[in-house]
Amino acid sequence: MTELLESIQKEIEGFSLPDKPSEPLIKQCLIDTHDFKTQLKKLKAHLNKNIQDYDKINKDSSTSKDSKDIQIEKLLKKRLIISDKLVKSQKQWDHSNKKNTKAIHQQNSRFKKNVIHKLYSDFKLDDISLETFYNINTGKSNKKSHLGDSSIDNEIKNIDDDDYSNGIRNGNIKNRMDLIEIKSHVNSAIDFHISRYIIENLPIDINLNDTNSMTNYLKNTYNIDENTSSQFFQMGKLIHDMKNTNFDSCINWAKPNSNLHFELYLLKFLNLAKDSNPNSPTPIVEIINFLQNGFGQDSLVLKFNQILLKISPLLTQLLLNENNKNNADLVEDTPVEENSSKSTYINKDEKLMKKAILVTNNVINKQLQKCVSLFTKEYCQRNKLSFDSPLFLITLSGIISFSDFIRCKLIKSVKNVGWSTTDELPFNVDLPDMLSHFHPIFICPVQKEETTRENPPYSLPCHHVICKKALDRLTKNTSNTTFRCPYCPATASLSRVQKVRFIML
Amino acid sequence: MINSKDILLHKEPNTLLNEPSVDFHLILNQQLFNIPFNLLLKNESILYNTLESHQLQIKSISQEISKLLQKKEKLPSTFDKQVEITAVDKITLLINTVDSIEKSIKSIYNHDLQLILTLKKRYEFFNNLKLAKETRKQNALIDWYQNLTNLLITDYLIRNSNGTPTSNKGIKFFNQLHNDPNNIISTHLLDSDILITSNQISNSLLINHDLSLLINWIETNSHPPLSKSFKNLIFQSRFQQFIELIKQNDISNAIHCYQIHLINFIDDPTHFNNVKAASGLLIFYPFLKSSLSSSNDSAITSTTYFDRIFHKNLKSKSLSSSSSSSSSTISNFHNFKLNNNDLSIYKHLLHDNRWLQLNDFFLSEYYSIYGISVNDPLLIYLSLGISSLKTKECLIHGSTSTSTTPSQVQSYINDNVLNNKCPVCNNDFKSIASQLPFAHHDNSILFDNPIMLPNGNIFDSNKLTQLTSQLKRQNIYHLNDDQVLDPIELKVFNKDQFVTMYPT
Repeated sequence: MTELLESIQKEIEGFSLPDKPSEPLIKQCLIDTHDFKTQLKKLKAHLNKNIQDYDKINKDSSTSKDSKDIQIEKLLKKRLIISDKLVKSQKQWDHSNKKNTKAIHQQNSRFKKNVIHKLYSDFKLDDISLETFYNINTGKSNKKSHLGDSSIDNEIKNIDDDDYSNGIRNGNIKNRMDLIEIKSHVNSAIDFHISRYIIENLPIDINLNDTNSMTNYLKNTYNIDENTSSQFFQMGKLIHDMKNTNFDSCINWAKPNSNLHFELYLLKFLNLAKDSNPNSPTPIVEIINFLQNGFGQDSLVLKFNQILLKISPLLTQLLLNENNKNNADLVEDTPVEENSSKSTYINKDEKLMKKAILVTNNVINKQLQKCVSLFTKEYCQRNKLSFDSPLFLITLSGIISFSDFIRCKLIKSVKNVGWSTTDELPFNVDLPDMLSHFHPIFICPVQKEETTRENPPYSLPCHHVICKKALDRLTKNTSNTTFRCPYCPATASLSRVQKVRFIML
Repeated sequence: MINSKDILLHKEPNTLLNEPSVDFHLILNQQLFNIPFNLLLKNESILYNTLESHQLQIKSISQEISKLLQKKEKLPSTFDKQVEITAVDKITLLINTVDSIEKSIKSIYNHDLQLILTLKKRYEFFNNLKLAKETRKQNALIDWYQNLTNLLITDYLIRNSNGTPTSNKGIKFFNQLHNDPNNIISTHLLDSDILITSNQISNSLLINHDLSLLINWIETNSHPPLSKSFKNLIFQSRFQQFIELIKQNDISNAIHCYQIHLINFIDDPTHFNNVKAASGLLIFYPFLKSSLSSSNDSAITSTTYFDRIFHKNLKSKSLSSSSSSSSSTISNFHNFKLNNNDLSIYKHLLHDNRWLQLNDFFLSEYYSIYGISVNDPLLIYLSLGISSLKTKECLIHGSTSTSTTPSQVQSYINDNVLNNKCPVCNNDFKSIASQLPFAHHDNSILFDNPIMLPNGNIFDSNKLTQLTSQLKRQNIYHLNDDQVLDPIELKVFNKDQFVTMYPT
């Protein structure tokens, strides 16, 4: 749904003059006022001219009285014109002020009606507050706590009740203590988040070879403890090296034969190819040396297909380029194509062979980004850090689930039922794959509830799985301990069921 | 019945992350548009006032000049150039006035220009979300949410900062991420000034117990008609001022504060009890202080002392307020004397918790003026996020390592297989998560190709085979071709022992 977004766009445009999209409405006011001022200055000049002219007429003794009278007559007429013009431009300015302020006022009213009211008509962030959910947990759902309840009336009532004496506030103090504790955890999560993402963007004057320099920077700028920040020092340094075309440190870090290793190798090759000077044959020899020695024999075999796909065409072009310097047909198209199948590649290859090579910065940047991303993943994996900061993942889940909470609140307000006190949200939140595969979740098809350590899943002999509670119910009234699987005709007995455990790898 | 809310809450089909619609995001971030718009409204009224206040003056001067110039001279011989000279003087005055108006308009214009640019940038921000959704680029969408998260973090850090606003690490972080040394990007997406102001006032209340910033803010922002809550804030801050003066033994200023400020609330039924308590405090404080040290609530009956000071105060007060209200006040105060001998009321008045409470009143008022949420948005999202992620398996310590010195295979498995990336199980969120409810699931979330080993452990058969080949390739564990290792129990099983499962 983007209706609101569209009306925001439209109404923001309305803040500008129709014929000058970069100028706000008030510009007209400025223009009109300036014009008015200019007009006044002109009139002032005319008045001064009148004074000068009069003095001239008086001084000039050669002219007759009659002709003097005629000239003064003119001055008198001019007075009237100036007077008229002054009144007219004052009225005009007055009028345009009214018009301009009205236009501004109308636009503001429109924005209020079409944007602000719509933004605030349905719900606010505060409708779903932290305390609401502590209440679910503690079961104190009836008593709204101070922080969560923004209604002032209630607060005034509290004062009226003189709650200082009966100690209602104690509960709030407790909440506040909780909040302080919560915030200390959140702050530490933020420190992790900042360390994780800022390490790639440290200022250039930080010496990345010196961990003290990094520690001090993160300590002084962000007040991040060394224990948190130091987890990312090596990552920052290696990414920095990569960005400065020093790939060897990262190649040494990468596991041989790994995907990262190969991509780095390719990145280095692309850089060599880009820098190679077609006038001297040495670089090609260098490149071939690198290709032969920089990569282990094992890897050459393992990555054979990828080498064929990504390196061979480029190398061929480099070699061809040596003999065919006159060919000016440069191709912007990147030869480093993902997903291109072999057969189409051969066709493309033939075409490319005829053309000279151009490894663009774009291609290298893309490869660099790929390597940085792969490396970051690998680094986090190896150091048991999460690739996306937990803070980000949780916030994202919070945003995604928000509409479910609002919907539930609406239903709740309609039906006037309290939150479930079973320590479980009363609704299902559909999170995307990236947020929902941290733990296996098994919902017993009989009981429709999630299995837990207390209520574990059991496998029946037919390999259907149900939870312990369901199993207990099925076997409750059977004396001979045999029962029927609820999902197939097979018969089961208690002696042949097995407790199972789902494990996500 | 379908209303706008239903449409809004209706989940869009085919989203990448099951994320809400763009419009839903706009509502969640309503203040991003409300705050600049409020400032535009303020500018509108400044413009209106500027023009309005000078309009009549300019009109009358213009008319004066016009009248002067139109004065009929009977004969050319009576022409008086003094008319022009006077007119020039007056028109110069007019020009100067218009010039100062032009300057005021120019400054409003510059502010408007910047506010509209801000609105445009914010529109663009959400338009980028729309584009990422439409083009179905998950990376772009994730990047957008990263940005939003960073904005939320910055918002949180400003709100909770104890330091000077210039050194705010949230703003630094946000700008540094965007390689923006001039700190421009953050201002387009963040109303940091608004938050910094509230943070400063809040800190002065909570840390320094200093009311001056708050009272200053109240004075510049109390435009009638005042809301009930704003009046309450005024009362609470003056009441606190009074209490602090009493604590400092500055009785004469306390009485002054009472007479100037608190007395305005004497007819307000919501504050009457407190005004009453304030006058009581004036009397009881010396006793209270000693009783606080002796911690013994001995009954205080000091009618003479009470009457002496009390009547003296009341007399001076009744000069400034209406006689009708003061007569009712007198009787009420006498009731108070009879009914409340318990000093515990006053102890609460003297308690430092009142500062926390005053801060809450202030923040809720301040935030509601700008349409900002009172609770920290980041904390709201975190609590919802944790709850929607929290499974029954979370927070259960999953390590299976029994030996203190894990073998090579054990440590490999711990690092690579059982390394749990669940954000809820993360150290920082563990204890918060323990206080929040679990997510509810309608459907199982398992894995493909579930197979059961004889010990009852169920795995993804492909992943288990992959693990085995990894272990073999890296010479960590020797296994035959038809064998797999159960990473939980570290037992070897044959592949022909796999039992295909049908969990759902």
